[in-house]
Amino acid sequence: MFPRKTRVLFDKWYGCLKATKKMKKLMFICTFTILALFASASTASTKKISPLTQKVEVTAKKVNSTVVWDVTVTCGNGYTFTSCCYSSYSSAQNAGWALYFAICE
Amino acid sequence: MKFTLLFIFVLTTTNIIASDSTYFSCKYRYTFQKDSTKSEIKSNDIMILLINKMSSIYYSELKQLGTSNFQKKQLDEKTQNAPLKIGPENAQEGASFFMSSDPEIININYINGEISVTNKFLEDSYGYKESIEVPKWDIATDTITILNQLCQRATTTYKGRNYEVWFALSIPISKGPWLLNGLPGLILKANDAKNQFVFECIELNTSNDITNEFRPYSNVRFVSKSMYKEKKRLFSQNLVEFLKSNGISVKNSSGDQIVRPNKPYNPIDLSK
Repeated sequence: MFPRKTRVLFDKWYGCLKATKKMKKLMFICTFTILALFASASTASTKKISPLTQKVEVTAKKVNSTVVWDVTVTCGNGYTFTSCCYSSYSSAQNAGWALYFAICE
Repeated sequence: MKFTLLFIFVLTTTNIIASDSTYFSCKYRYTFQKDSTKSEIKSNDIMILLINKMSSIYYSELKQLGTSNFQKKQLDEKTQNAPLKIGPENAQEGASFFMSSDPEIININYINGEISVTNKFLEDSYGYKESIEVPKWDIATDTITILNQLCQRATTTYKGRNYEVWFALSIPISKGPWLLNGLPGLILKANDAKNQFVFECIELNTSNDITNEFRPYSNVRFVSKSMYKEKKRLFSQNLVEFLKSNGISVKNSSGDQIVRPNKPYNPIDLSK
């Protein structure tokens, strides 16, 4: 049923156990089924919890003794751009997200 | 005698106030095509039409929820810099604030026959006013049932597009989604001939709970319709150019001004 190399390896793993051929086959199938299940589960969860790399960061600065805000946007692919200048923190953040959707998406 | 008169007066006044504040509402699923050349790509929104005796308001529910949740997020120091969840399924997280199809709020005053269209382009609110324009309808005899309401078919050409609509015979309100109006019953379904804009009523009720979330735009600057349409076009088509026209730069990491190609633009209103 299985190639010789696999059988040898398998016999080494379970050699210490006094099991019949049928039992060994069953254990082998069970082991690989469990491994496959874990592999698919971890792939699915990676997709779900993949960290969002996009960022919208607002910083304040002084231009001619007036405080203004600029916003730096980082797209998911790492592309970064900065927009300047806004009269408030919230307007910079609004514009940042709007730019994110306009440029990155 | 005096008491009886006072009682009648109070009763009448209360009744008038109650009937004026009673809203009839209709929730529409709005499917639209941003790019007129790509019929396979459709966008969706949920629109609310609120009607009372004197006026009606038509607005995007997703936009209202998105704006409200985004503002809450901005006020909270812990979450204000957290990434927005993206995708239509996360519209209520605030992403719809930017993704929303149609952030226009249409207010119709039936007393003076005036339509007021307002919109918010980032921090600035703009709007225009015009008189109610009633389309010339051709009413057919075909009928269908929508939400248990028997509806009759009508067609028209309005604001540059041909429409087919279905109005409810048992709801004698001559209103509908967007600017469609003037039929003997409430319009429950409407679509243009190319199916680029489709409105389908998905919920009918007379509750005014639905108005709780609604916030009109403040400090609206009313301009001519052509100026408004130009601002809307630039904002939708090329945000970078829109910001540039307001003196705001968008530069890449090398310090060069970003130049973006125009995005497709397919406005529902093709009139001038």
